[in-house]
Amino acid sequence: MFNFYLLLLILLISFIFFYFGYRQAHILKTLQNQKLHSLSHYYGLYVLLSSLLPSLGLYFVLTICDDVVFAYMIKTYIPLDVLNSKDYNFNIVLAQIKNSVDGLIFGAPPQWVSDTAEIWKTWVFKSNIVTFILCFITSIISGYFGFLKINSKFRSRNAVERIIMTLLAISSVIAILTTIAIIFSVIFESIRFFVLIPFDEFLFGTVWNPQFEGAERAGSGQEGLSQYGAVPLFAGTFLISFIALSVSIPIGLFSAIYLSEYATSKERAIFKPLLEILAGIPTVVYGFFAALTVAPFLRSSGSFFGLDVASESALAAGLVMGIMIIPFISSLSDDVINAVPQSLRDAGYGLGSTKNETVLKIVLPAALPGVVASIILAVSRAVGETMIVVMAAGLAANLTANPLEAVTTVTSQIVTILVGDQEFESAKTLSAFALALTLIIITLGMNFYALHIVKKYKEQYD
Amino acid sequence: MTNKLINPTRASEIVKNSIAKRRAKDNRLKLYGRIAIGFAVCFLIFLFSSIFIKGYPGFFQYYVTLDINFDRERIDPQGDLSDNSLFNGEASKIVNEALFTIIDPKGRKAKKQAKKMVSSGKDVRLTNLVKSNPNLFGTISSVKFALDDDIDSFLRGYIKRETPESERRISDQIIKFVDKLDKEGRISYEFSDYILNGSASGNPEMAGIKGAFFGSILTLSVCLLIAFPLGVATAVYLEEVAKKNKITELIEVNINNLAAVPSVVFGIMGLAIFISIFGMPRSIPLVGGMVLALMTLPTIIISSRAAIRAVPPSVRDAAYGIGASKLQVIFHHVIPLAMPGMLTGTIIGMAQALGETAPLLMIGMVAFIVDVPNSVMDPGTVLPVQIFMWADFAERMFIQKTSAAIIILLGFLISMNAFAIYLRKKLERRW
Amino acid sequence: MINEENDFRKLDLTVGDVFSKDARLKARNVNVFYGNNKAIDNVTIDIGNKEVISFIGPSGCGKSTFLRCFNRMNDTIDTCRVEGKITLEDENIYDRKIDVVPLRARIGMVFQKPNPFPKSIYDNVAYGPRIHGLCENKDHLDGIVEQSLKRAGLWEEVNDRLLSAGTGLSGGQQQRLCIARAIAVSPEVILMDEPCSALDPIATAKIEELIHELGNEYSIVIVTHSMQQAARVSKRTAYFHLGKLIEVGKTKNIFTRPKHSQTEAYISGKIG
Repeated sequence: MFNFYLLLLILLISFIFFYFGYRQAHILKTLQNQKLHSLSHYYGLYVLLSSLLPSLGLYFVLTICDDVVFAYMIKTYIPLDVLNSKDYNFNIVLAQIKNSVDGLIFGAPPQWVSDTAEIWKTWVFKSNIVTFILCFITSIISGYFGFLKINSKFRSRNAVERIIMTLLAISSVIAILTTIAIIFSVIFESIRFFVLIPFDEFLFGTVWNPQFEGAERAGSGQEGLSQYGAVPLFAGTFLISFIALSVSIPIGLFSAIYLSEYATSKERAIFKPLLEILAGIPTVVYGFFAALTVAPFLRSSGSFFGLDVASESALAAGLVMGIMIIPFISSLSDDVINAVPQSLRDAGYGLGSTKNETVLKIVLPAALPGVVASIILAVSRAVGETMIVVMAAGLAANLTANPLEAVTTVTSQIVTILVGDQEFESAKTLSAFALALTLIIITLGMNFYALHIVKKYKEQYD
Repeated sequence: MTNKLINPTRASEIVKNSIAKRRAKDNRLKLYGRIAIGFAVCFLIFLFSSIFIKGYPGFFQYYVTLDINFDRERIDPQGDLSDNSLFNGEASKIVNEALFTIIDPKGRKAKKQAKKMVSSGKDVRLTNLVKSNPNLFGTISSVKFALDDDIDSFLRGYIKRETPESERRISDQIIKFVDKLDKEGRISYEFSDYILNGSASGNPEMAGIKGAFFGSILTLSVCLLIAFPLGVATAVYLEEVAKKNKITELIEVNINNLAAVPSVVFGIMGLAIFISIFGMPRSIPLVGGMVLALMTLPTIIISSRAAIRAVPPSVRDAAYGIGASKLQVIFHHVIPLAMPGMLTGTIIGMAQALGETAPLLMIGMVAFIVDVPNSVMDPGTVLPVQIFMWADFAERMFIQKTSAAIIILLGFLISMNAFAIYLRKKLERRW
Repeated sequence: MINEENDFRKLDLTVGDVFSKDARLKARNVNVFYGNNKAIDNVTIDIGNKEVISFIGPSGCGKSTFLRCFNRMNDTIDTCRVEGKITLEDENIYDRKIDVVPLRARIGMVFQKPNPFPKSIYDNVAYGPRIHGLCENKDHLDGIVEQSLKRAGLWEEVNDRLLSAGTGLSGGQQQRLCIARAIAVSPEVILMDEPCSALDPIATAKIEELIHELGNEYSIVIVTHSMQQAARVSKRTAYFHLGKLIEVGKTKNIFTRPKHSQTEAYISGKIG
């Protein structure tokens, strides 16, 4: 609440400054008959911005930093016996303290937790006061300096526009910051993981059996209990993606060919959007459908044929995922096929080709780079898909090529590990980051490759 | 040199003979195309009808009408309608008494079973009633209470009378009670007021999506408030202001990459940075909205850029010609003209964000939260995550409610997309 | 000089020798519509055996449209409707029972802008024989490819790089490749729609020479907007104006002693 009111106050002050700036410009124009470069509201805007931006920036810096600083400082207040105890874990302690601060008290926490929480709360209180005063003063002072600048020589509109352009540029940088944030967060934790578990064991090991070490520190010599060989996960991802693609590629391609070459415009107007709907259905709905309808159906029809189909089979997840991916292939391929120039088709027809000969021997080969790219993008989507596999495929890391068995995937493990209680130090939690890193490398790699293919072969008939 | 080329007449004959087979192949390809599309459409129909069939009953529940003696001293002992007073009152007991007068259970075992017949939310229902309508005190009025989910399943026919008692979830005794209530016309099948008003609950008959719904609204609002301005600002910058140099290329490559990153990874980033480093609380719509905003940003940027590019240069030239500055051209001319396209892209992006589950799981919006979140800082969950959580529960009624929740979710998505298409058609300009 | 007022015009007949003794293709009262617009108005003409005939006329007079009627390429345009009769050896090609595929194998086409397939030179030429099943074995196919390229005057230049991309050739070479491609299916008639308009003068000269030679084997109908080109390559010329066939005759005569006043106007540059 405090934050909200402070922000409101800063905003209010800046509006007041706007008024003064506007009025000043107006006075200069009318009463003192000075020629001003810009319209009055630009002067108001300038003063507003000069009051608002510095104090807003200061506010964000202080709010974000104080938590970090407090966490650092609170260390000195943790009782020595807790610090030295065997299962000391700073993150857990921090969480306990924070819970107490937020008022989430379950049962009777140890006394030292309540005490440190009280200390923390006083810090928060002090920091709030400091933030308030600093922001308030900053907004007034910087606003005043902005106000002083108003005179006949000042080109307010240009100044305002420069500021706005800078803001626009900064917002664009957010995209880069996000990428950096993703890379940073994943790599940092992955490195900590690979310190504990050697690289090759992760990539080539065939047993995936992470355990929570509980109070025990990771890597303190208890190998043999937990194993982090990711091969079963890769195999599971591969198996399910393979099933998905064997559904989506034929359906997607044939649909695309029909829609672009054979369909009447009425048919196209109806069926193209219908296929796109498949892409708009949330994956949780697909997962629900896969788990509650497809999987039992496969299981019962399997037993009808004497096959033992697991209740969480790779086949169920793969089939549904395949259907979800159809639009990726059909839409993109359709676009690429349509982009093939009509002159090539004319040449084919002129020689006496039937439609299917023209499509299969002339158009598709010409569109092939785009089609291949769309398939790669579909694979990338399949590999990164989470909800369908979490809900319909299993959690058992099973190294198999049998689609009737339950397997698990990279994404499924990431979710399982990170949802629920975590200790940030343990190898199990860190393994999720290592998996995420592999996932990012694979999907981004595929996307780059797809773009590369399109670029490389694009010149062919342009 | 011998003429290798075939004599035209001969060639013509060969071609004529080959026609039948080639036409057959042509028709086959056409057929495959139709089968493929047909398969996809059939699946779509199958999916929607399956969800609808499962979910439609989820909007309805069985209720029992009981005559409640609104004895003030027993319900509100302190007489002030405070929560404390009502908590200490005997609301549950009163409801059970009303029930017992009708079915007259004999013996401790029967009474114990009978107490479970009405949903355990009965006391809350009663106390809410008196809070909103204190005039009820001193009267005997009929109130509808939801029945426990096992009885509900029995009434729907999923639990069969014929099954031997040991394999059934409800006993013969309960069935006798239910029959009695039914004979007196006290059992009704009505639109459930829990599905929309209730929140997460372990009891299927009380479960509802209200909490998740508001959570979704809050989260999406945060997402929109962050992603739309940022997205438009970035699109404007890249298209109108920035010079084409290495840095802008880098930004563009970045944006395209972000569009390709799996959603889980955004959740991980949110977990590692917003929660671990910045120390924000888990499970709140603010963090969820921030993560979703970063995910939706590429979509909004790409569609906004397309919309800006569609504005013809002649408009800009005219504005510059009058002496407008660059920003004036952008804000007075380009953005208003490109706004329909930007809005359409944003709505579609929001629709995608509404259906996202995985990243929100990562940042913890998956806890069992009963209260409806009131602000972006209160812990909450979103509709797709609620569906995910319910999907694990095996009770029949949960399956129905989950399907009902899916119907609601799909309803929103369809409306949002339809709105976007409508906007696009209506505001489309032919330059 | 025959003018509008003369009997011929009143009967709306074409001037000159419309018919040929040894006709390959006979067009009778052909009308072509794009939607409601009439593009070709009641045209009757014979295409003789092993002759080169040019269609000339100002832009937009319908010569390309009429040309495309002969191999039913107008079928690919949804709004186009063709009425009348065109017979190839006494079979009306617009008859419902006729399959368009063998027709197009007998009547080949070369387009205005060279459009080789993005395949190798060999595969470009081999495409037609392959789909029609004209060859029994690889040697036979090799022979057909070689022969076609030789007839198109391209063999010398490309025989060492048959597997390189067809699109890597120069404009003139590409067009000759397209001609070779058409020849490979052993057509009887080759239709050419302004084949040189996208080419430089040297390439144009080479192709004109080629057409002259090909006229000994095939009936060639060439649409051209260049009167000089018509004079160079064809024995017979047909002058079209606004969808009507005005005059047909020996090229020499058309250009020196045209019978119709409109023809004369076009030739002397007064219109067009």
